[in-house]
Amino acid sequence: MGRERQAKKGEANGGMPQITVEGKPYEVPADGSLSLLALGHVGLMAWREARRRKAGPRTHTPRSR
Amino acid sequence: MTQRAAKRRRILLIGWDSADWKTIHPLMDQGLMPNLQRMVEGGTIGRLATLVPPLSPMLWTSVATGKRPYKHGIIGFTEPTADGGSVRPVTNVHRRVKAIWNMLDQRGLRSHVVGWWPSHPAEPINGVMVSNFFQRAHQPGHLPWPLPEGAVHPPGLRDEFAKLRVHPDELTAAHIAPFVPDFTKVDQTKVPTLATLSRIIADCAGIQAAATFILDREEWDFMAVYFDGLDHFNHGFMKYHPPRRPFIPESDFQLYKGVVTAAHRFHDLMLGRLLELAGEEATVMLISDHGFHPDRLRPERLPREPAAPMFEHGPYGILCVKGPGIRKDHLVHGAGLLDITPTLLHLFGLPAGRDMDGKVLQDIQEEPRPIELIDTWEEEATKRELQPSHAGGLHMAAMGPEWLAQLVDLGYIDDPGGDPSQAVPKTIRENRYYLALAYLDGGKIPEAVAELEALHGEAPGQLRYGTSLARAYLRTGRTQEARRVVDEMREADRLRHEGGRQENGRDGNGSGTPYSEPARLRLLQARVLQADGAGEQALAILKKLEKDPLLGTRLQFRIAEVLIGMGRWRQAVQALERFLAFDADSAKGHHAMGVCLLKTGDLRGALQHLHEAVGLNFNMSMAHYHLAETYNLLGDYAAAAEAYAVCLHLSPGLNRARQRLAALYKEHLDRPDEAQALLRQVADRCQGGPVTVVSGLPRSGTSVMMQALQAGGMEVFADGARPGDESNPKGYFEHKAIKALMHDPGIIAQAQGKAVKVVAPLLPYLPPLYRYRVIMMVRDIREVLRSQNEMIERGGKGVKRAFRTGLRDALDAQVERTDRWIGRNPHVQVLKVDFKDLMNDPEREARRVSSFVGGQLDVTAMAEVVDPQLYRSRLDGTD
Repeated sequence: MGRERQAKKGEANGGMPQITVEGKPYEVPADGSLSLLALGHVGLMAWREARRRKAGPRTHTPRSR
Repeated sequence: MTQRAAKRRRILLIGWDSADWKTIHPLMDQGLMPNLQRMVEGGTIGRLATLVPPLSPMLWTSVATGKRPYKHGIIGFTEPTADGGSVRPVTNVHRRVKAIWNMLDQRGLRSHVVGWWPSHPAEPINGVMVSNFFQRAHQPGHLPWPLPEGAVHPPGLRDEFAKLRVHPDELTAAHIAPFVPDFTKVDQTKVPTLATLSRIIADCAGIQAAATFILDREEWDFMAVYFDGLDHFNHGFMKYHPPRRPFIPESDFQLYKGVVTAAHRFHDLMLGRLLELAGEEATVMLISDHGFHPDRLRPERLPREPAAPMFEHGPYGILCVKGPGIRKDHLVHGAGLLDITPTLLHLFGLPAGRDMDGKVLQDIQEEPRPIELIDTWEEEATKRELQPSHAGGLHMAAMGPEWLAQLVDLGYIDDPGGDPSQAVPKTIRENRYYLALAYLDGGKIPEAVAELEALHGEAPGQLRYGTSLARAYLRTGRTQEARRVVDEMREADRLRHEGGRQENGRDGNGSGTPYSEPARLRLLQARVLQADGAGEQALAILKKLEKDPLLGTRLQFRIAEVLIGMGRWRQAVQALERFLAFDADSAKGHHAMGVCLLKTGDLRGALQHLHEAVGLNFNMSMAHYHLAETYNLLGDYAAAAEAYAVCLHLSPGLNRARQRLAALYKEHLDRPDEAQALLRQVADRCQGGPVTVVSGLPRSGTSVMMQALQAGGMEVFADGARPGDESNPKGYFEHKAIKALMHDPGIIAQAQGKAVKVVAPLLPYLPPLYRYRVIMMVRDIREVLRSQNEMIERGGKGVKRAFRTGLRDALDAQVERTDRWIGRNPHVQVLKVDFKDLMNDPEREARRVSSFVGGQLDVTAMAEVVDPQLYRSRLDGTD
């Protein structure tokens, strides 16, 4: 926990905000991290996207119906 | 940042439940909370005094409204459902007053609120509101997780916010390992710690996601975000925080010792993101509602009663505020939860309400502006009304029992059990108890007593109710009633033990186990003995309890209180030194020390401690009173007046402070009009009475006057304990309790509508709560002295003495003091009756007296009991 991550709005990464660490693009791990959660909705969405890409269409996401 | 936002102040209010500087400062020193560190260095910090009871839904509502719980209406963790058939977690439906977001809404400002406790159902404000029912998951992740109705305003954003929640089942080792590195060693079939951790982390993440979503896309003037995570982390894991306490197994300590640190680092990361999104031009205020003891002050064991976890809470939360116009690298003193909303309003350039219980913290501003006040925000027309109707549908079944289960697991409420019909009255009664505690904290003693009397009557087995009632009685000088309640509880507890019934978790198995009275009752007994003037007996009890390892050094404060009551100031100082070495942040400890040093003449020392006390807890009215007394003795009358004024603002009923302030204005500060106004207030505030007081120097005819009043038909307050004798053949008409008026002024309550004898030296101790009609017996000093001497001789105490000049001077001085006291107190009417006139023309004097007390007395009967034969010790020698 601790390396400063930043979220930038941008068109890269399929429309998802790009996350950088010390100015460099950050590859979001599928397992996520506390730092990503601390980033808020941007980090949360980026993590879920990474998770989805890794696991395919059956990735667990909360069912909010 | 938009141009609009650049011109107007924006304030982000972040709540971290139970954050405590004692935990945070060491972490900052280690560089583990860099974002908070930057706020601290660039802003103002302070302690934030909490309220009693320190229960979060009540506290966070006080933060948001600037008012105490008995004003705002949120008084517990749970509440009955609208149909009265069950209970549910507390909602905002019963909040009776406006919150800061309602006030700002009325002035056209845009507010957003995320997760405030309580904030369900979401209010239709000019902005986004996400309620505290938003983030919690109660079912496994593979099951549907619908967003509760009313969790989001505007409703059109429901679907977007629903996706921002984080389910605990989503979390991975990457989220858990920073908290519990060796999490694989945890046997999750036996202990649910990892599930608990996951839940807390997920909840925080959901709130953070919602808050950042709003900050990213919405215009805003004010935003309030509440995180309950640290409170859960602290309650669950502070016991493992280093250094290891002897009763914590080493294996558990090694597993969980890093949880609290990791929790704070996680919160710091989230803070950093919120600061980034808010922008440098925003004012950010970070607060907590109470502290959390990370050290020896945390009890080893919690009592078995609802809301017992609050005993782990510390009395001071945190305050950290940074932004344009806020002082940098500054420490503010005397701040409390009630000050947040008044301060926010002031920062927005809006008035605070006079009906708010807090104050504006001007000291945080680089250039303080004058404070604007309006009577109240409640009468302004609202643009939008609350829509609580759909809250009626929040039945427990719809919410799922998990909502309440968590509160039960945390120990905040008793298990409502399978029978909802039992849960409702229990909830109501528990909430009334919290309301009573809030009344006590706010100085509304009669209201507190009324609630506690009812509760004690309904549930005499609940020691908490009786204990609080007895303490409330003692605060108002009703010692006899306190004694009665304590005796009842002690007897009931002993009978419970002998009867073999289980109570309070102790087995009363009747198997011959020796009865051991609970420490709580013994402490209370000591308090009553102290109030009764039996200090030695009280000390004896406390000294025995000192050996209890759970009470230990905490008792030093109680011991000091007893010693103070006995006037043993220096011994009290020693006890307080031991206590303050244990708890240096105790406001009551510093207050008590200040009083002791005041009494021993160390005025500078007294000032230091009293300032410390009010700096820790500004709302201690008596600390301000004693501060004023100290400044008075030092001759700093302006400072004394300021302190009396603060005391009166906090405790408007403290007439004694009002009297002192009036004397200062008149005698030292040349403000006679204000002095007169205060004295009129003293009279106006005397709601009780009238009490007819017969007074004068001893042997001035007070007994004969009491006899005459009784003969005339007035009831007298006397106990007959002192029968007539040669000095007073017809009796003394005294009440023993009046001799202890100095210690127990509450006894006067029993004398309302009656006549009571109070000798002149004790008149100043009459509580300024009643109107008094004083019949002052006047007699030539020489006759008084002669009569006193003769009485002493009759008692066999010595030979006839010559007049003692010193004694005469003392009596003259007493007469002057009495006249001055009467002159200073407009609630006291006086009729002087010359003893000689009474003896020579009893009927005329009886008419005067009857007219003075309302004209209802039998004047003839009064005159008949006056026996001139008993006019002895005459100066003219005709006796």
